Amino acid sequence: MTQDQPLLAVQEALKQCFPVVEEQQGLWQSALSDCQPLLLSLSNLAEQLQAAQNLRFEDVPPLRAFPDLKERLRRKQLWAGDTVLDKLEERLTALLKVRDTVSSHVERVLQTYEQHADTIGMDGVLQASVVSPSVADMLEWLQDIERHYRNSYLKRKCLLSSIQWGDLANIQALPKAWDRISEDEHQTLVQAVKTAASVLVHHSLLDPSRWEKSAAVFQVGPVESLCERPMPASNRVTELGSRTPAPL
Amino acid sequence: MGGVLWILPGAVEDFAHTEGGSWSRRIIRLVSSESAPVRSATEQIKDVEGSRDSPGWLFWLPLSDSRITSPCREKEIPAYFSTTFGPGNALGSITPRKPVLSVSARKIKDNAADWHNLILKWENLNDTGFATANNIANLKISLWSEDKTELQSSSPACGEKAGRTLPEYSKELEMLCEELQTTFNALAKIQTKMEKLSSTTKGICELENYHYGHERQRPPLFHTWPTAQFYEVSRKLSDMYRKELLLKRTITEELAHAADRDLTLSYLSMWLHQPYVETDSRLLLESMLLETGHRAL
Repeated sequence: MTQDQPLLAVQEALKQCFPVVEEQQGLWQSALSDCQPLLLSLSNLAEQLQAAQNLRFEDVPPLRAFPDLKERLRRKQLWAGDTVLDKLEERLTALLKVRDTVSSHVERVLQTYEQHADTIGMDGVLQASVVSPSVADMLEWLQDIERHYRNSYLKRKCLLSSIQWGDLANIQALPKAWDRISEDEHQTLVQAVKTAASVLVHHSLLDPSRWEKSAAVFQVGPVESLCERPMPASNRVTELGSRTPAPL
Repeated sequence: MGGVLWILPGAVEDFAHTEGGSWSRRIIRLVSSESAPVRSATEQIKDVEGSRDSPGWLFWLPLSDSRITSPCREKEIPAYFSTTFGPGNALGSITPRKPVLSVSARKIKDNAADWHNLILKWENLNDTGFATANNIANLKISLWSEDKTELQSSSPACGEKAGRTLPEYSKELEMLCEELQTTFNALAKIQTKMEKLSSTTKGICELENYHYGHERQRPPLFHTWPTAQFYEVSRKLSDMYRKELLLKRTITEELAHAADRDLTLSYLSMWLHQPYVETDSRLLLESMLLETGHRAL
């Protein structure tokens, strides 16, 4: 029993970490969905700026009465653009906060593991049961999730940093570029979903609805279809009804 | 007793409610807003001039009939009214000039509330107008693309078809243009009210100048602003909206006639971003609301 305690401590840390990840994923998605209309708005503003640039105001007779109009319009358009950029910056800060929160929790789990690594031993780390993946797997998944947030944040930050009002074509293409990041992430996300969904079995073993919920959190299809390595049949919730879950 | 009271029924109710009608003996002449022509501030001052010797006279500037009921407009008589005119007034330290300035202060406070409401209404109308202008632009763009398609597959039959569809199209466009014109007319009305606010503020400044003459010591009506600053802000705001209205008139007249996409899009952008309403207009308004006590310090 004494030998199991370090392993239990690591499993407990893991158990506490995954609900946090689930919650943070909700915040991440919410921040991302806020960004989409803002990017469209920026793209639209770039189109307006482009149209005004193409137009020779002095050649339009009704506008000759407004000699400073072009400059004034540009100033107001840029001011509106800055307002949108400020809002995007706020959303980006929200994404950064998610990334940092997830990182700090994952780091805490890894620290706990490192404290007990020698005691648990290689066998203990690799040992999986019918109801619990091995600690090594779970740690790896956590690192995958953390990496996903880090990469995703960096790509988005980089994209938004590239915005320059001198390059209107780039701004007009922003929504597509943003979507492309999400599409590229899809594969990473599949891995993350697998990780979270598998581990969530531990803290909601007898509640199959929880499975669906955790899959929905990541906004992808059913969990099983996304698993690159299907879980053993014995691991599926439907077959666990009569089993006693392993203490975690 | 040659003082003049220009007062609206609403304002009378305010007075009566607070003062129980005890002020009524001070009213020299009540001119209803319907019968009263809009008079310049100078004319109003002339009226007051004749009455300056009567103690405790009351001067009230005419208020616009159709002013917006404002949540931030004063609904109760401020404390200084009851202390000055109310029955059983125990405060004897107020100079005879104070009531004039207090009434001016109230008028300026109401003006600030009116500015707030008019700008709010303007913004709403701007949104409505933009939606209409957007529809006009979309209609035109769709027509251009239709024209291109028809040109590509041009045949004598197509010409006849175009002849049939054009009136339908024009009718829709005309309807939208009329809608935009209605919105523009409403904006123009608001702008006229803005000009009036500016001119009444100017009147208050002139009244103060008349009373104080060359005296340097003029106690501020509220916190820190001299009265002239209210006029300065009102004038700046009404100038902005006057120029903006001119631009909007041009857009209303020209949008449906714009011949290319860039011009159409630029007209839309102009309507939306209001280039002549400067970004500091919000700051000017808010500082006026703060100074007059509509916004908490």
